[in-house]
Amino acid sequence: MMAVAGVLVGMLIGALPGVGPPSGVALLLPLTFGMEPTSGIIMLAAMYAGTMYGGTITSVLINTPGESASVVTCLDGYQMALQGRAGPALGIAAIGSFIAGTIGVVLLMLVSPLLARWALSFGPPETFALMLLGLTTVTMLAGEDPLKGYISMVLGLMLAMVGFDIISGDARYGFGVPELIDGIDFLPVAIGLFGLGEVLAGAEEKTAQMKISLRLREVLPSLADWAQSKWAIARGTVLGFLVGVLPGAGPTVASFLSYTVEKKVSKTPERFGKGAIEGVAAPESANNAAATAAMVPMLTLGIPGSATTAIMLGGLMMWGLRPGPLLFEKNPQFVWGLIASQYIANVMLLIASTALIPLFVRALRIPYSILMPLIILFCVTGAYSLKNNLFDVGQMLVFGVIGYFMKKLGYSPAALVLALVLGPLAERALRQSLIISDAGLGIFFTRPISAVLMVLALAAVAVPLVKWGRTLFSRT
Amino acid sequence: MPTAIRVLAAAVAFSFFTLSLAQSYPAKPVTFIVPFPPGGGTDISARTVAAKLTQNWTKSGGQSVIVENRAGAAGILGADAAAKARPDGYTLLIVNVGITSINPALYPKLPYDPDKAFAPISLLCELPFVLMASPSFKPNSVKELVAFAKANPDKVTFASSGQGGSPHLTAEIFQLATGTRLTHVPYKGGGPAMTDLMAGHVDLLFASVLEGSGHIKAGKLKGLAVTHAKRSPALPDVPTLAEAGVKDAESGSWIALLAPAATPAAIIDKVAADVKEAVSAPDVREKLLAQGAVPQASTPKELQALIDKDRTRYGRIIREKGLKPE
Repeated sequence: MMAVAGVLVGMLIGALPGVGPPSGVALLLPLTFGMEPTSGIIMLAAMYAGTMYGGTITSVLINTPGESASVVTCLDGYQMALQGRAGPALGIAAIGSFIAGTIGVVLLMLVSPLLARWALSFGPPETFALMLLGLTTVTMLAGEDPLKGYISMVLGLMLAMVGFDIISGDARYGFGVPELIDGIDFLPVAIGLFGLGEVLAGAEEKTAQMKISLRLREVLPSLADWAQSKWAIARGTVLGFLVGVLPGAGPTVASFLSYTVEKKVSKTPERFGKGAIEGVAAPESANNAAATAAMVPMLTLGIPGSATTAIMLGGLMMWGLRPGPLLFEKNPQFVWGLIASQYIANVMLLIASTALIPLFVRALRIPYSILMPLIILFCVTGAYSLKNNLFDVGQMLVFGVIGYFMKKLGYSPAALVLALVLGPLAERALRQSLIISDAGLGIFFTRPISAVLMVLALAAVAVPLVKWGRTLFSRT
Repeated sequence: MPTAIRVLAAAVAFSFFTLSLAQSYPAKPVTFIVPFPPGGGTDISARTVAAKLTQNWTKSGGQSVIVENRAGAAGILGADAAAKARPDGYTLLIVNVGITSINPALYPKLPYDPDKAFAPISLLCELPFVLMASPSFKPNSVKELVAFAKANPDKVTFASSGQGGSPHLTAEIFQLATGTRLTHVPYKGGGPAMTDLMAGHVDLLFASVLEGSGHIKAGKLKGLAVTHAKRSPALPDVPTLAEAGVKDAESGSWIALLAPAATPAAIIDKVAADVKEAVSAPDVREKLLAQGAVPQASTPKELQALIDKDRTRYGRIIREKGLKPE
């Protein structure tokens, strides 16, 4: 019961852009305080799953990511919607999420302690190497011109410099505006760049009405779609789970990495960015697996692995449960209740989303002249509800205009958002590593995990350069 | 009417007015602004007290307390919203030591005047810290740690929840008191710092008893000392800093309730009395203790003295260590 209510409420809330899992769960947390701890946590887990999926809905339908983990989904999901295939996109996302969630829960039960050790082996150098690898994926997101991808990325990294310097405590590029002390939040940026930017560009193009099919057979993914996506889902799940266990990395990094992997292994990489169903299936599976995996550090170490689990941890404490290494021993029913509820939430999510897809798709039938103002309204309320702050709305509007120009000129907004998300994480890890190593760069190469990741990251940059050099050379 | 009498009459009328104001208060829901995200330590403690106040006020036919989270910029945004709210007692502000006693020294350009914007109401609870060491770190006591750090200056690393936060400043106070030099590795938030401590990427960490006690009890971390005057009931085996031989290094955070400066004194006194009642209720005490907090109400005057004392102390550390952003 609680799980059904939680999934539905979560989906509704998550469908508002900006209200991603952390703020959605935070918003609903007080509702659960009056409940029994077990029903409360079931409801929270269900809402978590629901908000994750809710973010996907807006990504696919109106190109507006509801939360950072579904930014990548916009790339191919919205393209699919434009081709009249919003239904299959949402369907494969739900199926992928379900499979990833199911496998995730099983792994959570079987190998939590082992995974906790893997998470602990990630210190600052490893985190930095992972973030660097994440940043190299921009070329995969950028579309045709890698140079423009890199330019977008550098712009994102520059924006990421704004805010509190963690080492010296300076407010960088704050211009005396207190809101900028925390830096530029990526959600208003993402909502602006994708959602509003799309509306502005669309207004000019007088987009033709999308072709929409409402017959259930065409709304759901076909067998061919499934055949195309099954390995993408499998790879997304494994990758998502491994990345999700790491504290701080979370669903966003997992979704970006899995998209890149899919494009790399694909025989037809040129389809990506133009409505490839694997481009939806892989990141959606990855972010759900990562969301489940984020529970591992919370349950085994008592340390939240993501912003959302941090809030759920707060919920645990309100009920007088003390999370941490002793939680399993002291409250076994509770822990198993939580794990079971995760699973129930996944089942409910699959049923609810499949049943509701025709309804969501129907929303696209609304004439563009009405839909557009609605999207703008969504963008504004989404940006405002993040922190109840008008500053974020202004930020979103500015980036909407920037998004319009980026779209016109062929610069990738996804690369900018990726850099904005990863930039601060990478910077922090880099500077922490250098403090620990006393400014020696060797720390990144003498530790095995970090060394492997660094080599991968360097290769990701070097290989295309060498190839490019060779073609240049062979031409002359 | 001579002016004196008129003034007197006005004063009498005004005092009746405020008295009746206090009697009918609260006549509508009271908002507690929590300038931090929901689910954090400050938020949880504030909600625990707010829930009790709601319970008590509802019983006497009164109103409920609404907790509103206005997070961002180290609490400055929420504090600013409260500073600019109507001073009618219906918007109050939850603060921790950081907002009242650290931010004024750390951020020279606050959007409000920290000396004049708020009137103190009452303390809610104290949050003692515990000094923890990674299991792979050799020293097992404060004494061994000090000897080791003196033999290896700048080699011992300590993590913190962030530059200029109260755990960081506590570590600075510790270094001054012991004459040691440690290397600071700031993190964003206590969680990541705790993970890296557990894995041995850093050696030491000051964090709240709430965050640390579970790991110490499970043997994943070594608890060296608590920073409070008394041992923590959650960690009865861990000595206080004074017991461990470090004098004048007591520190830690606390949570308190403030009002916008011009709020009528009668309302402030009433809320202070009600908070005291709420905080001393057995069920609230038990909940706060379970959260690692030490329930402790105060009079407005005592709270002001605490704010000033910590502000002088932290201000000095920030100046001496050059932590102030330019």
